Amino acid sequence: MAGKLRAYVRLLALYGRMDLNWMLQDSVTVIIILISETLQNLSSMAGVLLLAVRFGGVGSLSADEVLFMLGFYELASGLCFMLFGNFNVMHISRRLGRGQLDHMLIQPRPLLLQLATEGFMPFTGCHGLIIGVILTWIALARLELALTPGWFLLLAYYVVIHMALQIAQTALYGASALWRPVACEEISTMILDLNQQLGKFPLAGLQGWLMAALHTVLPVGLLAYLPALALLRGLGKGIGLTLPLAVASVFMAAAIICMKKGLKHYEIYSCNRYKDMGHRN
Amino acid sequence: MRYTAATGTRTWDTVTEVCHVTKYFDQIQPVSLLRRERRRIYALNDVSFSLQRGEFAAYAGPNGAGKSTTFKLLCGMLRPQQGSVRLFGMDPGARRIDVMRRTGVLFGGRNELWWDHPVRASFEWKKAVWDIDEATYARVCGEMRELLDLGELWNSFARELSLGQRMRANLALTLLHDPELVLLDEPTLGLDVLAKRQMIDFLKRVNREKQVTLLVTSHDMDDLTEMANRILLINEGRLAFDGDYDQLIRMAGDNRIVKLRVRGGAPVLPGAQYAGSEEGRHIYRYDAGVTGVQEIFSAIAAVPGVEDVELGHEAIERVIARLYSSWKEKA
Repeated sequence: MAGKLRAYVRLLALYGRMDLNWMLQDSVTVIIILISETLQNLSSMAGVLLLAVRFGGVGSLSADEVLFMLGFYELASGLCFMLFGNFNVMHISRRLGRGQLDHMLIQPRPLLLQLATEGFMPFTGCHGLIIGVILTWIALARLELALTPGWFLLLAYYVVIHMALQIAQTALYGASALWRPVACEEISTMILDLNQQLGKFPLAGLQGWLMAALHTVLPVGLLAYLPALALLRGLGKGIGLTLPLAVASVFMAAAIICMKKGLKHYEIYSCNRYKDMGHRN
Repeated sequence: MRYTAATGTRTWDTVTEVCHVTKYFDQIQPVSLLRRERRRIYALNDVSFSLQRGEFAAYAGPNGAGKSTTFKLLCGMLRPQQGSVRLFGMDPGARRIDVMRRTGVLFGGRNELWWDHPVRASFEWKKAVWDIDEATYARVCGEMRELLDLGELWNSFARELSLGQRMRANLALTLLHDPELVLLDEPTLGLDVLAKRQMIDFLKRVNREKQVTLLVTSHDMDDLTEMANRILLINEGRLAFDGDYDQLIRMAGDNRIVKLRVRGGAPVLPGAQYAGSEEGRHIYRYDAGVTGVQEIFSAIAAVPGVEDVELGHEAIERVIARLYSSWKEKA
């Protein structure tokens, strides 16, 4: 266990150092990417926020609560992006669909360890997290919420749930690229985009069946809406704590099963396609 | 001491053992608008061979013969339907990590360098991922930089390198962890004459000095016969030939070439077969096992108006092409 942890930290440090090197060596490119991604993040929130400000809130959420929800989404997804965003680790269907799994299989490291570390980008991938922290902090200041250690623990819980759901979904649907590399190459991107669009939308006021579906089958409501309600107003243990954990666990289990089945299929058929596009770029 | 089942040699000496391996792929092909047909394609069909420590073997075959499939089986990326694959006595599928610590792999047309980083960064990356100790890293890096002339490329971005430079850097990276077995798929593909020469000399030196076992594929048979002391020819999934260059020539027939420049049209040369004319020279082919060189000289002497004569072996490319065609006809 200690050896595994040491390997994890060592590889994390390696990829962090490589990210820093890239930032220092190719500063102009990095600045352009950071500015464009920051603008993209802000513009994706602008619509919902402007509507909330114009109409004094959306559904039962006030404008400040909507701001908190958006801030939370940015914070959690920004952390996820910082940990797994590099080299298409989160867009796993790209790597699988382009036949790039072979590059991983020749490394003398477990696949899971490679996936857990390769995407780490603490310097060029931290903009989402910074935006999220700032927005959340502004919203909290305006809401004048009493912040306790328990509240921060709950915040951490929902951040972990958010990350688990994003990763589980990208892996679950992305595994299809092991069977259909061409057709499913971009499926992880589609899922992440869908989460980004719907996950930032306050769901208050929707019909019950739709609300249930958006918290289970397509769990976008668990990414920011339900955590915002739980953190700002408090929810019962069942809905507030157990439901997100149960849904995230089911998605995680499904992702592991599908990935394992996909890898078994890969051992029989491999991938008859290879594209170096995006590989180690 | 353990002995391998197929060859009876000690496992320490047997680096790679492929034992009666069959690998097929089932494909569903559309034969009409509504009808689909299941077709089984054999990439490898009952293939067996083993590689001993320090061997330099060429693995050749036409497109789709099963070369890449063999490499993927050796790396544990694919599993055979029948038979077994062992590297250092281990199943590469079950013990991928242990096998990969001792094996260097470079797939054709692929790049292991980090694109947006200097070449140096890829080496430092490999040092950490493969857990290479400081002393080995310094020693191998020094050797590679000298032998493959990497000094000038060391701080260049991988994306800025030419194809030849990139291949050199990729090869050095493949050998960085001091592997005992190296699998190279088309290492000379797209290289110019000088770069190819450098690559071949380097591989021969590594094989000779470090006793590294090499299995190399290439479409260029001249390169392969120059590099390797053993040739494995694979055709339609079956191992069609396993031996050295001389055995291959004997199997294919010891074909020689006579090129004659004469005044007028192509004369008849008893014992040799007219194969065509190019640039004013008439080309004849004869089997040295059937027609002696004395007879050929006598036949040439009898031809009036000979201006120039050239004798030589048939190019290995042609020998192999002829073999492939004959196998295809038999099939």
